[in-house]
Amino acid sequence: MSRIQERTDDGLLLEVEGLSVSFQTRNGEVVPVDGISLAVQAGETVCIVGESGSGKSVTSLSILRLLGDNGRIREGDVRLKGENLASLSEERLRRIRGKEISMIFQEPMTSLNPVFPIGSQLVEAIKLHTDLRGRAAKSRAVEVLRDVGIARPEAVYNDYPHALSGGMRQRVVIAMALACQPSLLIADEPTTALDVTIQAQILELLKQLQERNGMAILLITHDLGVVAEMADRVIVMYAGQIVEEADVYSIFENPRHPYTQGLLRSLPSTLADHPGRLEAIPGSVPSLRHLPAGCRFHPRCPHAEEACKRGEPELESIGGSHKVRCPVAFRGNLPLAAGAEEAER
Amino acid sequence: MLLGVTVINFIIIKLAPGNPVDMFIDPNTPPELLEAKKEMLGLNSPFYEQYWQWLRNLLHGDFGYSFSSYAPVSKMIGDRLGPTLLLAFTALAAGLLIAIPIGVFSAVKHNSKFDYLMTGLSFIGTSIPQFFLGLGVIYLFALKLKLLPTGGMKDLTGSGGALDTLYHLVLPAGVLAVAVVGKKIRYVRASMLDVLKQDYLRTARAKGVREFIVTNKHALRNALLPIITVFGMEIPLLLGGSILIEQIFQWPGIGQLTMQSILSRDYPILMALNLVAAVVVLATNLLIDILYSIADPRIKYS
Repeated sequence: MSRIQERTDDGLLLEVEGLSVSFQTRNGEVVPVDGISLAVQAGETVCIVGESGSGKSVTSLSILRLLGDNGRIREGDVRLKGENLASLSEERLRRIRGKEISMIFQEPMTSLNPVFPIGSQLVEAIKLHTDLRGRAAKSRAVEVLRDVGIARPEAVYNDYPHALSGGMRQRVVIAMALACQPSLLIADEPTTALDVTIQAQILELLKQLQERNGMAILLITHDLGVVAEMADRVIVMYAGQIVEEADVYSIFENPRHPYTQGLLRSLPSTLADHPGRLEAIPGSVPSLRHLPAGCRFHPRCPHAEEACKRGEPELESIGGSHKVRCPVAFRGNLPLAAGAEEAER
Repeated sequence: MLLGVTVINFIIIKLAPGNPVDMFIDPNTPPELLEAKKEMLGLNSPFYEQYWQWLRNLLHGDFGYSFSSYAPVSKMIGDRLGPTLLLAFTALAAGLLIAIPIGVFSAVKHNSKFDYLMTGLSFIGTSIPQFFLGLGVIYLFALKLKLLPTGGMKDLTGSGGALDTLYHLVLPAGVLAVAVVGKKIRYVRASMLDVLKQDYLRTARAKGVREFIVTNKHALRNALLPIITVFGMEIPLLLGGSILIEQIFQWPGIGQLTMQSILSRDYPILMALNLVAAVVVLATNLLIDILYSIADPRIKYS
C-alpha cells in the first residue's frame, strides 16, 4: 500500500482532458482515441493497459504530438503543469520534448540511429536542452550512461548502436530520455521486445531512476505482470476509450469492467488449483471503422444485456477514484472476477 | 579479371568484319601492297600470337601505336582522358547537387504536387534519348538563342582559358546531368522514404530535435548509404557512355576517340580503351566499397 499513499499529496503534473485523436487514412478518417481523460501526479506511475489496437500507444504519442503527418489531435487538452501542449507552437513544444517529458519506445533495436555513435546521440539531447557543451556535455552523457547501469560508459560512448545488445540499447534509450531529468517519462511498451530476464532488469532500473529523480512514469503496456510490478494507478483502454480506471490493487482485486475481468482471467496461472485451458476473451478488438453501436465491448462481453447495444455508457465513479464504463457493473449486478488470485502473484 | 576482359575483348574485336588496312588504304592499291602492309602490322599471324604480342608489350608499359595515326596509344588516350573526366565529373556533380535536394524534398512532401511534378520530370529525364535532347538544346541555345556554342571544347583560337572551357561545357554536361538527375531523383526519394519511416527518427523528434535536423541529418545520413552505390555505378557509365554526347558536341574525349577507332578498326587503341574501361569499372567498385565502409559503421572490413 505504501506505493500509493506516499505519493497522493504530490502535485498534478499532466492532465489530459477529453482527448480525441484522428488519423487520415486512404479510406477516410479514423478515431483511434476517443475522449480520453487522465491525470498523472508528480512522481507516480500510471499504467495504460489494453490489447493491440486499443489506442494506448496513440494516446501516449499524442501527448507530445508525435503522431506523424496523418494524425492530429481533434479535440481535447493536454496540460503539463497547466500549459496546454495541444495548442502550443511546434517550436515551444520541441523544448518540452526530451526536457520536461521524455519518451521511450518499444523497439530498442531500431530506436537508435545506426550511423551515429551512442555518445553523439546522447550529447545531442543534452545540448538541445542544457547549456552544457563540449567536455561538460560529454561527461554528462557518460554519467547518464553509468546511471542506467552500463558497465563501461566511456567505451559505450564511442560505440555504434549495432555493437550493443537489445537490453543495452534500451538502457541507452533510457539514458537518452533521462539525460535532461524530465518530470515525466512516457514509456511505450519499453520491455516488450526484450527477453524476461532483461525485462525485469529494465523495470527495476526504471523504478530506481524514478526513486532517484522523482519523475512520474506513464507506462504503456499489455503485460499485466508489468502492471503489477510498476503501477500506482491503472487505466484500462478498449477500442479508443477508457473502460476502467483504479489504483493497482483495486484493478487486480476488484476489477469491475467485464473487459478488465476478462484480461485478468486470461493470465496464465502457475497455481496448481487452476488447471485446464487458458481462458481468452472471445473475438478481437473491433476495427476502428466498424465500431459496434452502444458499448464498444458488448459483442465480446459475457454479461451483455439488451441495453448495452444501445447508448454508449459513460465512465462513472463507483467509489473513490475507481471508475468504470459499464452500467451493469455499476449497478453491482456483475459477479466478481475470478482473477483475484492472479493479482497476488 | 582484367586479363579475362582483355582476352574477350580481343576475340570480339577480331571477330568483327573488316580490318584496318582495308579501312584506310585507297581501294585502288594493288593487293600485294595490302598484304605487305598487313604483314608489317602483324595482322597475318594467328590471333593468339597477336594477343600474346600485345600482352607482352603491355607488361612493358607499351600500349603500341595507332594503326591510323601512328601516334603512341598511351599519348592519344592520355590527351583525351582529361576532357572526358571533366565532362563526366561535372555531370556527376551537377547530378548529385540537383538530385539529392529534390529527392529529399520529394520524399518529405511525398504525394504532394511538388512530388508528382518531380516524379514526372524525372521520368521524362530518364526516358528522353540523349541524342535527341542534345540536338534539341543545340538548336535552342546555340542556333536560336545564340547563347552557347554548338560544340567543341575551346574556341578555335584556343585562347579563352578556363572560362571558355566552362562555356563549352554547359550544354554537354547539362544533357548528361539530365539523365543522371532523372534516374537518381527516384533513388534518393525511395531511399529517403524508406528511412523516414524508421523508429530512430521518432526517437530524435521525441528528444526535441528540430524537424529540419531530423530530415537533413538523422534521415539523410542514412538515406545516403544506398545512394553512394547508385552514384558510384554512374561513374563508368558516364566515362564510357558519353560517346554519344561527345559525338554530338564534338567533345575531344574518350568517347569520340572510341568512335573513330571502331570505324577505322584501330585495334591497339580499341584494346587500350577497353582495358581502361575495365580498370575504371573495377576501381569504381572498389571505391564504392571503401566509401561504404566509411559511411556505414555497421560495415567493417577485417
